[in-house]
Amino acid sequence: MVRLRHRYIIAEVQMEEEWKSGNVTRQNALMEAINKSIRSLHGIQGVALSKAGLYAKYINPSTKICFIRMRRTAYEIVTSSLPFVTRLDGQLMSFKTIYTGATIRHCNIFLQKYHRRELETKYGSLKSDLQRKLFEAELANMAPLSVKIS
Amino acid sequence: MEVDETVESLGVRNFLAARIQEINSLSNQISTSGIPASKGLAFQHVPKHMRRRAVSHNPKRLPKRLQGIHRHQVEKSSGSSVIKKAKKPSRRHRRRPSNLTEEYNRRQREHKWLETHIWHAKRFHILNKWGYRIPKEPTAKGYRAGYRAASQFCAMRDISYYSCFELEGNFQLISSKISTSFAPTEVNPLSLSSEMYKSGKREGTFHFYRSGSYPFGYVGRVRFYWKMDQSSLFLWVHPAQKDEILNEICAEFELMSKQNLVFRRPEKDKDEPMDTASDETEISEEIPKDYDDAHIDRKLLPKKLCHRPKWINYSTNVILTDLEGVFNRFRLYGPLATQTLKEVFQVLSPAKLEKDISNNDNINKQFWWLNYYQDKQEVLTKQCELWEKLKSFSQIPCHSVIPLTLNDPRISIPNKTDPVVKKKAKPVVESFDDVGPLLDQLQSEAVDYPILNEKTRTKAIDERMSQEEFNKRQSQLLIPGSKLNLGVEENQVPIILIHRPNTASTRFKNGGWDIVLPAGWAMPIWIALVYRCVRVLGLRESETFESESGSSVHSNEDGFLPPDSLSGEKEADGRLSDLQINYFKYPPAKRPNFIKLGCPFPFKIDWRSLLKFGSAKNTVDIDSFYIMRNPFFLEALRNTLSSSNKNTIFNQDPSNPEHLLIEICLTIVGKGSIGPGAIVCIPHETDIVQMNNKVDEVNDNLEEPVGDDASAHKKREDLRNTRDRMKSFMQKKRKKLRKKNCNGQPIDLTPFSSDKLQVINSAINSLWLPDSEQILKNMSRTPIGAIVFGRETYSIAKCSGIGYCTFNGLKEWFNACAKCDWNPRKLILVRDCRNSLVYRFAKLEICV
Repeated sequence: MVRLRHRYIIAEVQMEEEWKSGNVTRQNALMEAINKSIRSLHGIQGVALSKAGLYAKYINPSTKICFIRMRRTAYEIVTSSLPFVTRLDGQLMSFKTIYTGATIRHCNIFLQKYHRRELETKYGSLKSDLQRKLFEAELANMAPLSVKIS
Repeated sequence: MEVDETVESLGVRNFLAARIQEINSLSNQISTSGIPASKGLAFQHVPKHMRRRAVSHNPKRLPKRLQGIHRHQVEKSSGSSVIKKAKKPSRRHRRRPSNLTEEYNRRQREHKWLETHIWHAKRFHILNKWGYRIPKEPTAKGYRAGYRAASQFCAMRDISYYSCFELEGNFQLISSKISTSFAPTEVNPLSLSSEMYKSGKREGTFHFYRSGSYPFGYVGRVRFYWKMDQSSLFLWVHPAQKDEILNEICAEFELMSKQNLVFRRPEKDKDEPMDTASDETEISEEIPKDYDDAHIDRKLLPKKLCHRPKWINYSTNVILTDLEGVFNRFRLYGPLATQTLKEVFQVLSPAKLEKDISNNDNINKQFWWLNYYQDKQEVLTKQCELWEKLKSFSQIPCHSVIPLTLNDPRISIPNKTDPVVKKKAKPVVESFDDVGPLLDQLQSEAVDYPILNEKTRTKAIDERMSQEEFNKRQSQLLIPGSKLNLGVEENQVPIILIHRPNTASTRFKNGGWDIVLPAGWAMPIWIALVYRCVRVLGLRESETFESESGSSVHSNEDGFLPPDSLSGEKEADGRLSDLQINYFKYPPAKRPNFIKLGCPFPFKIDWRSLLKFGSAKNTVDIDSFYIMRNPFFLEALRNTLSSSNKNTIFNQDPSNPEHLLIEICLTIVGKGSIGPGAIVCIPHETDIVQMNNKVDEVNDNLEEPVGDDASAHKKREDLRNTRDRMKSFMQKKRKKLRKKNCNGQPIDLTPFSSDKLQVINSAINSLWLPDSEQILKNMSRTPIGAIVFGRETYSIAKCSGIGYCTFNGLKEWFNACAKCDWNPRKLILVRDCRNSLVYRFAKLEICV
C-alpha cells in the first residue's frame, strides 16, 4: 500500500480571552468548528473528502498553538476554509496560520524558532526595567538552543 | 501606575512561561531525532515501504538517519557480532611507502624522531626524553663492549637532539652582552670574543647563567662557534635547557617572535654585513616564496627547513633563529676515529670539480658545489692536502672546526662490513706532518663554510639524490657491486668536523670528533660509518662516560644534568616519581626499609636539607644553592686538599659559602660499591685506625647502627588495621546494598567504594619513607655530601662516582685531617645508604 502523505498546519488561535475548556474537549470543539466551516464552503462533498485525516494533533491552550493534520489531498479544502472559522465553542476567535509542513518534526523545529523570535520581539517591546528583569530571570529556565536559527 | 505595571508584568510572565515550556518540550522532541527511546527500536520506525528483513545483518539497509541509532542500540543489546567493523587494512597495505610515511609522521607528533630513528629502533631500547625519542641502550647489553669500543676502537652516538640556535647581529654587541649577562668571567675565563674563538676556527663552551643571577641560576653548558665572518654565532644547547636559554636570550636582546618570516625579504629585515648583494638575491630567488619541502624525501625531516621560527629585534638587527632539525650531529669516540673518518669520507678534489664543471651540460641546474667552488679552487686543494696528511687527531689544535666538502658517502660503502680495525696494522708514523698552519689557511680561505650558509645548505639538502633513485642507479650497473660512477650528479655534502681533545687523560680518553651535517644526510653517513664497524652507543653511555672521565665538566657529555639548574631539578623529580612508584609496587618484605638503613635520600637527593644541615647552627633555610664552577677556585681547592698546606683556600670564604656545593669524584679504596644516593661522611680518628688494623674483611667493617623503625612500625600497623577494618566494613555495606536492590536499578555505591581507602594507603606509604632531616642529624658520622652517579669504572678498575659536597663540610673534613696526621691518605667515608649499613673508605678528588 502506498504511503499516506499528510500536511501539518501550525495555527495560532487568536482570541481575546483565554481558551477555556468548555463542555466539550478543546480538540472536539476545534474539529467541530473547522468541519462547520468546510461544510459551509465546500458542502457535504468537501467534508467527505477532508474528514478522513483531519485531526488536531497538538493543542497548547496557554500559547494557543495547535497543529492540525490533514491528508495532502484535502490540503486545499481545509486551508481555504480555515480563515472563515469565527467561533470556537461560543468564543470569538480566528486562525492565524503560521506554517505548513510535511512532517511533524519540521513543524517542531519551526515552532521552536518562531517562539524564540517572538520572545525577542516581546523583550523589545517591554517598557519597564522590572519587566525586563523578570524576563531575563525566566529565560534561565529555557533549554539551550538545539536548532540553528538563521 | 504600579498596579498596572505589576499586572502587565504578570501577563508577561505568563506569556514567557508558556512559551519557554513549549520550547523546552520541543527541544526535547527534536533532539531525540523524533524517536524517544521508550518508543521502540530504530528499525521499528522505518516507514512501511522501506522495511527490510536484511537489516538484521546489514544495517546499511536502513535510512541514513536511523543507522546511527540502530548501531548504538544493537551494540548495547547483543554486542558487535552483528555489525561488522571496518576491516583492518592488510599488513601489506599498511606497509606501503606512502601509508608508512603517514604513520611515521603521525607517530612523531608527540615526540620527535631523530633521522636515524628507524635504524636505532631495530637495535636499541628507546626513551622519550625532552620531546625526542632517544636511543638509550642497545638491546644486547653492552656496557663493557661500549667502553672497549670507545677506549680502543671507534664508537659513535647520534646527538642530533641537541638544539642549534643561530644568533645574527653585530659581533661586538652579541659577544659583550653574552659575556656580561650570561657567561660571567669567573666561570668562563675565555670569553666569546677571545682571539681563539672569534675567528670561527674553534668551538668553545661556556657555562650559561641566568642574567644577573650569578652564582645562582645556572642553566647549562652551551657550545658555540662563530661564523668565519663573525656575522653570526651558532649555539648548541641541550634540549632540556633549550626553553630557558631561549627566553633568557630573547629577554636580553629584546627580541620579538616572528614566526615564519618569509625568506625573501633580505633588505628590510636582516642586516648581513657581508652582503655580496647580487649573489645573494640571485640564489634567494631560486628558492620560491612558499617553499614547501614536500618534494624532499621526507620521512623523517623537520617540517620546515627554510622558515624556521625567528626572534628579531628590528632596531639592533639581531636575529635569533631556531635551527632545530636543520643540522645533525654525530659524536665519535675512540683512537681509531680519525682513521675511520678517512675511510668513510672522500673529500672533494679540485680535479673532480673541474671535470664536473666541464661535464655539466645542464647549465640551468647548477649544483651547489659547482657554483660555490667555481672560484674557490684553492680551498679544495688545501682541503685535500689536509685530509691526506691527517693521520691522528692529536695533530689538530684542540676544538678546531674544520669545514669539509665530501663526495657522496653512499658510493664508497663496502658490500660487506669493512672494519677499520682489521686493516693492516696501524702505520707507525715517526712524525706527524705539521697540519696546523695548513688547517689555519684552509679555515681562513674558506671564509664562508658552506654548511653554515643557509642558502647553500638548503640547496645541498634539496639536491640530495633520494635513496630510491640511488638504489635504482646502482641496480643498473653492468657489474653488480662495483662502484657507482655518477659524474656530475654525485652529490657533495658540506660538513663540519669538530675536534674534541682528550680532557681526562689519566682515566678515560674521551676525545674524538663531532660531525655536524645538514638534514637529510644523516642516514647515508650513518650507514657508511656503521659499515666500517663503528660501535653505536646510546644515551646511557653519556652517563657512564661521564663517570669514567671522573668529572662532569670535563667529560663533554651532558650525562646527568647538574642539580643547581632547573633542568637538573626536573630530571631528578622525574626520577624520584618513577623510583617511588616502583618502590611501592613491591610488598614491604621485598623492598629495603630506608628508615632502618638510615637513608636520608632514597630517591632524590635533597641538596637543600644537606646544605641546611651543614650550615652553621643548622638553622639557615636554604632556598637556592649553587655549584662552584670557577676553575681558579677549584684548582686552588684541589691544591689545598692534596697538599697539607695549612694556610689554604679555606681561610677566605667564597661568597655564600652556605649555599655552595663542590663537585667531587670519589674512588673507593678496597672493597665496596657505591651508587646514586650514597652519602659521603667524615671519618673519625678511630675509624682510620680501625681500618688499618682490620683483620677480618667481612666482619670488621665500620657500620652504621640500624635505624629505629619501631615507632613508625607501630603507626603503620595501626593504620593497616584501620584500613583492613574499613575495607571489610565497606565490603559488607556494598554487599548489602546490592542485595537490597534486586530490581535492577542502578545503585550508587560511591559512599562505600574502596577509593576511600586511598587516603589511608598514602598515609601508610609516607610512613615508609624516611625523614631526611632526622636521619642526617642522627647519623653516626657527619654527612657532607652525596653521590649522584656511581658505578664500576672500567678505566681505573675500581668503583667510583661523581657527586657533590657542601663547602662547609669539606672545610670541616680538611680541618679535621690537617689537625693531626691520623689521615695521611686523606680518606673519606661513603655509604651506599640505599643498600647497606657499611661505610666504605674512598679517596676524594675535586673535579676541576
